[in-house]
Amino acid sequence: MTVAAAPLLTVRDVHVRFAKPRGLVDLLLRRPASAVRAVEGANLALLPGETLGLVGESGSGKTTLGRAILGIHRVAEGDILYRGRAMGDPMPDWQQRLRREVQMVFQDPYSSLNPRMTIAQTLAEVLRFHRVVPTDGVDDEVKRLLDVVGLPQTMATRYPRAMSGGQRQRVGLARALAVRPSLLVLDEPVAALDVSIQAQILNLLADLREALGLSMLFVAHDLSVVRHVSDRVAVMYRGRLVEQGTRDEIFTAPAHPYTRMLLTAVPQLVARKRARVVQPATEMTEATAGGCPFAPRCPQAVDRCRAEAPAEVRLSPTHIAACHFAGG
Amino acid sequence: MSPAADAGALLRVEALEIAFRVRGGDVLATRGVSFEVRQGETLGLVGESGSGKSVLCRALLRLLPSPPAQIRGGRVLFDGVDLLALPEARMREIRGTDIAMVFQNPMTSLSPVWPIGDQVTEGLRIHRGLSKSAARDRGVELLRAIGIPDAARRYDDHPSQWSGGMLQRAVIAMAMACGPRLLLADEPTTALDVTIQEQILALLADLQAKNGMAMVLVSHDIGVVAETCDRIAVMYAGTLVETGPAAEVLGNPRHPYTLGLMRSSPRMDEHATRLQPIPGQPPDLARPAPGCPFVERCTFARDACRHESVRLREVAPGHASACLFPESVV
Ligand SMILES: Nc1ncnc2c1ncn2[C@@H]1O[C@H](COP(=O)(O)OP(=O)(O)OP(=O)(O)O)[C@@H](O)[C@H]1O
Ligand SMILES: Nc1ncnc2c1ncn2[C@@H]1O[C@H](COP(=O)(O)OP(=O)(O)O)[C@@H](O)[C@H]1O
Ligand code: SF4
Ligand code: SF4
Ligand SMILES: [Mg+2]
Ligand SMILES: [Mg+2]
Repeated sequence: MTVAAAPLLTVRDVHVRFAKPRGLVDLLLRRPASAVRAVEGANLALLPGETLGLVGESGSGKTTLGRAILGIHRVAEGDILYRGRAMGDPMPDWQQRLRREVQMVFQDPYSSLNPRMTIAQTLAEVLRFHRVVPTDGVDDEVKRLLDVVGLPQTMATRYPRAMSGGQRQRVGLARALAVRPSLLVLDEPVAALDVSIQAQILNLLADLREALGLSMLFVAHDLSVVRHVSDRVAVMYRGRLVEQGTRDEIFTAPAHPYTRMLLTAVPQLVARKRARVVQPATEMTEATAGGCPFAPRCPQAVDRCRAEAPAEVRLSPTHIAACHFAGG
Repeated sequence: MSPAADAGALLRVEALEIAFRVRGGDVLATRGVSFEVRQGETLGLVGESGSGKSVLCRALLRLLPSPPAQIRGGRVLFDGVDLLALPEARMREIRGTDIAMVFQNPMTSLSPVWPIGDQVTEGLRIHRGLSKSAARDRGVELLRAIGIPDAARRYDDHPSQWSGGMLQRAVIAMAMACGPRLLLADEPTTALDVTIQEQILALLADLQAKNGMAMVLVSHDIGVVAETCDRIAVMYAGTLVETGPAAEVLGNPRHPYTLGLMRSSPRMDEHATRLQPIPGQPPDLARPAPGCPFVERCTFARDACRHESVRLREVAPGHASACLFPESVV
């Protein structure tokens, strides 16, 4: 990791909260609205040209963090900086620049495209709106974009419903790339796809990263997928980033018990009917307030873990973990 | 061979043919599917989406809506009895007791408005005639067995109070309540993260070891199947293209599609940065062409593959492939 390069994106102690929906009983008893702490104190930095994989179980806050970066969710506390400047800075020219330079690709290629527009119309609309190319160059640019994401030109006149999931995901990617972004936030871009199609999209992303020098925040719950695309990996658990490191650090020297648990749980392709131990369903057990959020499921937890939240331990210039026992 | 003579097979599916009547023609969802599951055995059913795995499972239990579904041919022998020929009342009984099913989304099987415990024990009250209090005792035991902490208190919880992993456990408890001899599990862990997935697979294996139950585990994840199953059946475009012992099929695949599935799966145990996708897309099931259904995507294809009909043929004891040239697959 070079010290010289300034981060493209900086996430500093970011908190995102949602009002918990109040049920009828809550309303009748006039209970105050409480908050879901979806993201708590997240710190991240993304260098130009770098891909950061963000992993964690469903509901851990990955999507919320990604959407906060896009400005879709309000940040309750903390700062998100793009090229060193606050993303929330309301200056119109800055906001317009962000809308071009920072793009998101969604998990569900089915619902993120306008069903009444052909693929060419969808792409042309984006190109015209952001005046990416002169009006008479729009058609050529649409053709070029289809090429870039590996779709045949014959797809241009198709509607989304007449395409496969993998093809729609390519369209989603083409639409994001149309404005020539510097930063791409991809939220589970291959989770809904079959392995064979998933492999096509992962290879495509690797090519685009090389060719366009894109920075990517790649959100996924699947570690083996993240391993294929990321330079660095951040692991999220119940709203907190519990470990961050280079790909090799995370995959060969994981320091947080949750990361280690994730790694050993990934099924391997080798036939070996495993003897497993039935674990109690602890995923619903609440962590004690003020303690480590992972304590209810942690095989190494001791009393201290339930009383005192672990601080981040720096294990190398690039490797940090939030565990009392990280680093020995 | 008469079914009774084959003592080992608990479930024996013979040449099952299922079609859906849709506008513009029929979709052949399964074509001549045959396989067996023995008592205590786990069969893994893998294949990409749309290959017919769920349709097959639902057909075994006669849960497909008809119309549009239509069973065109074949038999489903459970303990020697053809389920397709049974009256609906008898079938309902079998569904509640001898054969159980677990779906990908636990809320397919649960009602959001009833206490979880009552739903888990519903089968015991209907099929085994247990009183409400006896069912409750048994239900608490079941919840404990599937690892729900504080089971007696959580018996009255509603589904909204449980996480996805816990709900999937509840559905498994519900399926196990009457002691089924066969469990059909359709992508039971696909919606869960890997650590919870591991817990659920452990639970299934444990319950199976205790009850000697047979299981069909459907997954699109070859890794899940590799770690859970004794035998594997690979499904492609409504047909089984390879079957055999798990170690054989994965260690020595004899069908190009199986090989392609393995090569396109990201793996943790080697340092590949480039995956090898299977090119192209599955064929349109409304327009079945003669020859091998994989021919358009197969790197081993030859002229014969377009004309000659393919069927599962043994390539080693217990290991069968529907490829015309199984020896060239490497
Ligand atoms: N708009 C919203 N209103 C209320 N709560 C929300 C909202 N969006 C997310 N949450 C809650 O925030 C937490 C984190 O959600 P998020 O969707 O970001 O997680 P995730 O890790 O991406 O999950 P998944 O993998 O299922 O998409 C969850 O508890 C979720 O229920
Ligand atoms: N109700 C239905 N009407 C028409 N076609 C259907 C219906 N259900 C499933 N199919 C078709 O049957 C095939 C197999 O589907 P399915 O069993 O859901 O696949 P899998 O479970 O392997 O993902 C697909 O081509 C699908 O489109
Ligand atoms: S602080 Fe304690 S409970 Fe938390 S991860 Fe570390 S060992 Fe486990
Ligand atoms: S029969 Fe031919 S096309 Fe089909 S899998 Fe074998 S080699 Fe490929
Ligand atoms: Mg998400
Ligand atoms: Mg299915």
